[in-house]
Amino acid sequence: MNAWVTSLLDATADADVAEDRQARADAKAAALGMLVIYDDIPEYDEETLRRGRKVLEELAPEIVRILEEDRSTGL
Amino acid sequence: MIAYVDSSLLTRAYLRDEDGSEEARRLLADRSIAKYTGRWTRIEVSGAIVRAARGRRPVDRQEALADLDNDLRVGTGRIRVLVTDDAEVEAKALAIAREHGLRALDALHVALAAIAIPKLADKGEPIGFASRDGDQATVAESLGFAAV
Repeated sequence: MNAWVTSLLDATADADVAEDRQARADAKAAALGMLVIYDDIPEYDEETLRRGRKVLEELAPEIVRILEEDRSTGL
Repeated sequence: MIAYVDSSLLTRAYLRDEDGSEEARRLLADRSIAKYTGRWTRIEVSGAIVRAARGRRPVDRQEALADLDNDLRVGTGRIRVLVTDDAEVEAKALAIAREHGLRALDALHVALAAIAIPKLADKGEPIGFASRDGDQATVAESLGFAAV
């Protein structure tokens, strides 16, 4: 699994447990393609982000569905 | 709560001599509120920091710009930047400007908030708009945002 996506999904799971509103909303924003990542202030290298975006495209509908469906699912 | 943070408020977090600076920093530190802004904010706040430094106000230009960039970094930052369909945002901003007479950037911020923030909110969750511009805040409230 891509490092960025893994991190995003981990943060989402942790956020749900910890009720971290920012991380949970970020996962949804990323899944919807709404999150801006500045190239000049990167958290991850370019290749990781490129591959991450591709993986995220495939996972996005499922992430959004789970986040919207029920917070008690434990995602 | 999910809140859209306008540049007028975010600027105050980095200019500590501004009224409301402490309040702005408190909002940034509040993890119970998910915070978002638009792409224009990085430019607006950067300009405000540089102008303040040139005006010999008590701000370290490089440090403040670095703090801003750190806050906008996905993963470790405290506020995220949103983007959505430009044409939709522009059309909404135009409608807001024509109805309420807001300035262009103020209207663009409200338009982006109105389009993007509800998509991220849980069902029934309150949405907020943080601004220190009275006219802009009033328009945001008329669109269903709580003042933050």
